Amino acid sequence: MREFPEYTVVMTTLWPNLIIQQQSNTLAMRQLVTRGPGEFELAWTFFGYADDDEAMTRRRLRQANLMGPAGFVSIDDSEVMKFSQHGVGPYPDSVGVMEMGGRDWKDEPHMVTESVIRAFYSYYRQVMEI
Amino acid sequence: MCLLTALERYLALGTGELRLALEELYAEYTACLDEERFEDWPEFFTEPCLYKIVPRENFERGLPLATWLCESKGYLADRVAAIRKTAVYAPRYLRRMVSGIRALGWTDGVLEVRANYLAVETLQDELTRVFNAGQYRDKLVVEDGKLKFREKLCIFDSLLVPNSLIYPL
Repeated sequence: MREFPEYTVVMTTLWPNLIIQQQSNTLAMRQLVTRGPGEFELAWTFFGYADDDEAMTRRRLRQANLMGPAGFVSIDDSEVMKFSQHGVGPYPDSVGVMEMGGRDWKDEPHMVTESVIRAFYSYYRQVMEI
Repeated sequence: MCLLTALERYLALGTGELRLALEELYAEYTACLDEERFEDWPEFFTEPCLYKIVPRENFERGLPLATWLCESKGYLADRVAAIRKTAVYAPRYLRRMVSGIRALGWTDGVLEVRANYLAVETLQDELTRVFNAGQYRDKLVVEDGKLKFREKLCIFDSLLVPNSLIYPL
């Protein structure tokens, strides 16, 4: 059910380790907890509104199948993240560069780009003065 | 008439015979998954059914969110389609061990069963590790002369899932 008029997917990163997301009718927060150079935990918190009716709560719970460690959408993310770690991990003295969608950051009409991540790190470097 | 007869046959089983029947069912169930015959997996369930993998913390606090939720055979088939066709993941073996199977008794043709389960995962070039452990809380009924899961809850003890949960438990 279209709950918000304009968008079906919205993800917002709150610096440095919190992501708030809406995908269809799932509302969730993801917190990244670093556990060392090669490991992190991802804590998922799903939520609804106190005045959701039963049908909406059921809809959110069903659509939660999209997300989390067994999520139809998010399984690939966790797996690809691990592939990438395997790829760059053995070369701690080098720099691994992901260039999906180029090197710059700007608004795009599609999602086949890591522009948002580059924009994030651009700001991160600015704040950290590096 | 045939269904009634089958149910009556199961109801008449002694404790030891019922235990054997359950041992056999759980052995078939885990073999089906261990051998990655996922297309056969939904046939262990009734229509409709409830299959949930849920962290123990959520279960004990009465929080409804599941890590994996299926409410019908169609849901189960969706998961199989994802495993086979859409999900991208590293090759792996998952092996499941079930022990301490306990039949709690029949109520209106429904047999409640609890058991411990342990799943170990082996990724290429990595040592086998404990992947997920917990308790099955199952409700079984007799359908087509066989015991089938009307409900299967996999309640896992750890809050953490190593990377991703792709294959069923």
